[in-house]
Amino acid sequence: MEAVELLKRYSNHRAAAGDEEELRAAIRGDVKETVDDVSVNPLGNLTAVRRGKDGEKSILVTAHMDEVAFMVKAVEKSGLIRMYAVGGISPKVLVGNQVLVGRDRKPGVIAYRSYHLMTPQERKKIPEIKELAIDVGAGSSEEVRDVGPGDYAYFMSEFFAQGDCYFGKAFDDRAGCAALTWLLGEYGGETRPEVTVVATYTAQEEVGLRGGQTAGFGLRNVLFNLNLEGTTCSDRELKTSYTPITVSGAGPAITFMDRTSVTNRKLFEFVTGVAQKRGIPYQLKKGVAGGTDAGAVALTGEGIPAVTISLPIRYIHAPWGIANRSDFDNYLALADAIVGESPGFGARGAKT
Amino acid sequence: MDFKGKEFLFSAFGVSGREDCVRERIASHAGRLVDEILNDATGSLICVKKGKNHGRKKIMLSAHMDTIGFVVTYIDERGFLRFSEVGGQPEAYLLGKRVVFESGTIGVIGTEKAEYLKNLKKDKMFIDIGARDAGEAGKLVRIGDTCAVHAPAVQTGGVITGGWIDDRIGCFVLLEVLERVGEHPHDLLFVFSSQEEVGLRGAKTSAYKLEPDIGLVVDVTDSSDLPEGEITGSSAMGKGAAIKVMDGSVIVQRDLVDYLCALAEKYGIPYQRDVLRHGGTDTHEIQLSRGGVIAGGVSIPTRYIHSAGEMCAEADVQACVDLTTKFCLEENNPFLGEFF
Amino acid sequence: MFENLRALAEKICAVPSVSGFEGAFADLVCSLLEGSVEQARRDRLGNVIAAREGRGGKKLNLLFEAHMDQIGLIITKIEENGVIRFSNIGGINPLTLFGKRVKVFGKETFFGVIGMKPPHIAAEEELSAVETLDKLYIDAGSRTRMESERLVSVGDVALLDYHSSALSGDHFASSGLDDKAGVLTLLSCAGLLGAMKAYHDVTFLFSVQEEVGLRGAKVGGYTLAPDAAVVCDVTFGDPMGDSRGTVPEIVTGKGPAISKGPGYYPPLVKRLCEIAKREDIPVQEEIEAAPGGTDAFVIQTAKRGVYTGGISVPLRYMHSQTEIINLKDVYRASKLLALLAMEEDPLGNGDVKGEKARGSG
Repeated sequence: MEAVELLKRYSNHRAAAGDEEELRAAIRGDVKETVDDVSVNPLGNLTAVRRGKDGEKSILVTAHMDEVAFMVKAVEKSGLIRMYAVGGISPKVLVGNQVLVGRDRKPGVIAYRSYHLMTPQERKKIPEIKELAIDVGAGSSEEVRDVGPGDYAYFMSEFFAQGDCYFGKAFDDRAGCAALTWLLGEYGGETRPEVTVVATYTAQEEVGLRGGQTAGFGLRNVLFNLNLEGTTCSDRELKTSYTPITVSGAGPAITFMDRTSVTNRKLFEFVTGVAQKRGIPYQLKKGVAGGTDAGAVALTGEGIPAVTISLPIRYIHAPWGIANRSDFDNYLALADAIVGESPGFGARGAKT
Repeated sequence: MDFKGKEFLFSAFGVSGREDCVRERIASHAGRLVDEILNDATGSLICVKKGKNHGRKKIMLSAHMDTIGFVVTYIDERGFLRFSEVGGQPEAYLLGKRVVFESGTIGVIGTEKAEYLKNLKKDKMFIDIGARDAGEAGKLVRIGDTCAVHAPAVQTGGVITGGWIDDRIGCFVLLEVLERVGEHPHDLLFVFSSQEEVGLRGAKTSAYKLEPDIGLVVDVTDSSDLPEGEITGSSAMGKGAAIKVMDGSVIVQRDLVDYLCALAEKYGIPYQRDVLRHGGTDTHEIQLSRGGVIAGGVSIPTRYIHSAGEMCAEADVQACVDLTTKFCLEENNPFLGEFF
Repeated sequence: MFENLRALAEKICAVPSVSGFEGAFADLVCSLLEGSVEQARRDRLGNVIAAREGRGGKKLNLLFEAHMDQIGLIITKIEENGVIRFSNIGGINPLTLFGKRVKVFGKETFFGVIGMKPPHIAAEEELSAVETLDKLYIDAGSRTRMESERLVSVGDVALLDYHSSALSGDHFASSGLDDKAGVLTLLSCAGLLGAMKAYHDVTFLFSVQEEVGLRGAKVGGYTLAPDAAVVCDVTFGDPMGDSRGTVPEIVTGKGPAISKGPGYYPPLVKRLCEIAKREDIPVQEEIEAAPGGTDAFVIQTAKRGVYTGGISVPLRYMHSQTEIINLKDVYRASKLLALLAMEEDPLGNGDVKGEKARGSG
C-alpha cells in the first residue's frame, strides 16, 4: 500500500486517548494479512508481530494512534456543548474551528462571542477552553440528546496535498502509524525481516505516554525500540527562540535527548550511522522539550534502549499541520533502513 | 579525609545519560575488589561482591554517578552554543560559570544583554567556547554534546567544596565501603546508577534487574542551616550521617529508620534524622520496584546543592562510610531474615 | 437505617493512618476482615491484600482497591524556645492549619496548637497572609528545646485533631474520609459477598501512601496484576463547587460517581452503569478527560495493562480535617461492587475466561 495513501486515510480517521477504536480497526484491517499475530492489550495498544528469520531476537517499533481532541463535559440547556481538551491543545488555536462531535460526527463550531461585541480588553485576551463552547446549531439540549458527557469531538480537517507539502490534522502521530503499516507491508508475503518486528500502535500517548508504559512489558531479547513520531517544526514562526527545533525539508529528525529520555549513545550512533551509510538526509531534533513513548519503553523492566525519529510538522497540535513530501519519503526510508540494519546493532550489543 | 586514588570521582566527566568516562574509571577502580561487573540498559554500573553466608540475601547499595549539566541544542553562525539544562538548576547558578565538555573543551556561560542580569532566563543565555564561527565551533562541539560546570572540588578546613559533590561524594562513600568491608554475610550489589538527575532512571532499571532484598542509597541531602534560611529539611552539616526518614519521593519504612539509628548509636557514629521537604532520590525507585522493596538512605548533608560550590563536612562523609559499612557487616539484619 | 455502617465508620475513623504510618490502621482492617476473607496478608510496603474465592466455573480475578492513608504532618525541627516545626505529608491545605489543635504521635501522644497571632494585635497583612508551612509551628507548652525533646523527635508524625459526627440525612463527618470512605466501601462489600457468594475471585487491596504519590497501589498492582480492577476513592461533592449552573454537579447523597474517560475501560464502565440501572442503584457520572488523581492511574498501567474502572464516594471539603460523606453512597458503592463480582461477564466484553485480560486470547 502506498504510504501517502495510508497517511491520508489515517490522518482523516478520528482517534483520541480512550477512543482509538476507529483507527485501531482500520489498522487491524490493513495489517492482518501481512503479519503473524495481532492482539490488543488493556490500554488499547494494538500489537502486530511479524516473525523474523532469527527466531530469538526482536525489535519493538512503536507509533501512537491518538491525536489531541476534545471531550464533552456537559450539554447546557441552551444546546451549547462545554468541553475539555484531551491532550495538550493551546487555547490560541481554538476559536472558530469546525469540529465533529460524538459517535454520529455531528458538525459544530467552537464558539465565542462575535468580535464586534467584545470589549477592547477581551479582544486582547485568549479565552480559556472553559469559556468556550461547541455550537452544533441546536436550540436546546433536547435537540442534542444523543451527545453526552464523555463523548469526543475532533477537528474537522481533511487531508490534501499541494505543491510539495501535505496538509491535514493529526500528523502527530498518523505519520508514524502510516510508516509502521507501510513497513509491515514491506515484509509481507514471502519476505521476512531478519529479526522479529513487534509493531505496537500505542494508545493514550497524548495524556501521559500511557500505552507506552505497557508496550515494552514481557518482551524478550529486544535489541532496541524504534519510536516513530511527529515533532515540532518552527522554521517559519516569528523568531522568539533561537532554535526552530527542526527545519522543513532537511529530513527526518533524530532525538538525542528529551524530557523523558537520553537516547542510548550506541543506539544514537547506530541510527545516525545507518542514515549516513544509506545516504538518507536527516537532522537532529534541536531541542529537548517534550516526551515520547520511547521514554516510557526505555524504563520498562530491565530497560530497553530506545530512539525516536520524527517527521517535522509545522503547527503541530493544531487543526492543520504541514509536512514536506521529501521529509516523509526520507522518514520512511530511514525507518526501513534501521529495521533492515537492526541485526548490526544486536551484534555489537545493547549494553553501554 | 584521604581521597587518594579516588580523586578521579571529582574530575571524570559524566553528565546524565553520558556517564561513559566516570563509569569506566569506577569500573577499573572497583574491578579488582569485586566478583562481577554488570551493566544495565540505562547505563548504570553494577559491582557485585558475594557474601559468605549460606542462604545469603542481596543488599543493593546505590549512589548516582551522573552529574547535572547542559546539552547543546543549537550552534549559531558565530559559534555561540545554545543549551538546555540536564537536571534542574536555578538560573542564578549558571551565569559566568566555566563549563567543561567530555572532550575537555572549555566554555563560559554568558547572557545576551546586561539588562537580563536582573531577570535571568536560560533561553537568553549561551555557552561561549571562544570560536570565531560555526565552522570553528563545529570542530570542537556538536549538537547533542553535554557539558558540566567546571569547579573541581577541594578540601579545606574539614569541608569538601566544589561542583559534582552531588553525588560523586556518594560514589566515594561506596568505594570506601567496598575497600573496608572484607568478609560480609550477604551479597553486596554496589550500584553506581545513571541518569538520576533526570528522573531516577538508572535506579529503576537496575533495581528491577537485581531484585534486591533491601536497598540503601547514599546521596546528598539539604543542609538546612543557612543564616535566615528557610527550613527545607531537618539536617545540618556537621551533625552526622543523615538517616533518611522522608524526602519528596519516599517515606522510608519506620522500622528501617529505627534500625539504622540504633546501629549508629551502638557504634558511636554521629547521626541525625533526615526529613527533607522536597526532592527525589533513587530510594523511591528501589522501594517501588516490582512488588516493593525495603529501602532507606544514608545521606551527606550538603549546602548549595546544584551550585558550583556544593559544600559538605568530611566528618559527615566519614560517618556515612562507617554506618554503611556496619550495615553491611551486621550478621542479624532483621530485614534479611527468612520470614521476610 | 445505616447504624452498622455508621458504627463501622466511627471505628475506622478513630485510628489514624498518616501516609507511611498506616500500620495500626492496617491491623484494624485485617481484624475487621476476619470471617469475610480466606486470608489477609501484608506486603513489604504495608499494603493489606485479602482474597476471597469465587464459586463460579470460569472465574476472573477481580481487584477492588481503596487507599488506607490520610494526609498529615511530620516534625522537622525543634527550636531553642521549644516550638516544634513541621512539614506536610500529602496535600495539606494551609488554610486549614491556623490556630488548630494537633495530636502529635511522639514518644507519647500529646496535644499542641498551631500558633496564630490574635486579631487584636495582628497587622492587616498578617491576618490575610497564607504562610508556607515552614513558617508555622506547633506549641505544646514547652519553654525549652530540652522539654520538647522529651516529648517528640524529628520524623515523628502529627494530625490535625478532629471528632467524628453523624450529621443529618445519613451524612457523616470526620477526618481522613479520603479514603476511609473507600475502605468502608470495601469492608462493606466483603460483608455483602459473605452473604451473596461471588462468582469471581475477589482480591481486596487496601493500599498505603496514595496521598504521596500512589505508591502502595503501584507495587500492589504489579504483584496482583488482576484481570480487572475497580478503584474506590472519593471525589468532590462540594455544594459550591465548579458550578455555573450548566455543568451537572456531583453531590453527596445521590449515589457513587462512576468514572469515565481514558483512564477507565469503556465496557467495564458501561457494565457498572448497566448494573446500577438494573438494580435501581442511584449513581452519578464523573468525566475525567485526563487520567490521574487516584490509584487507578498506576493500576491501569501495571505490567501489560489492567482493565480498570473507578467508583468514587462524593465528599465535601476534601483535605480539610472535617470531610463529609453520605453513608447511603458508601452502601450503594459496596452493593455495586458486590453485584459486579456476581456478573458472569463483568468486563462487559465477553472475555469470561480472562484470556484478553491476560494476553492469551
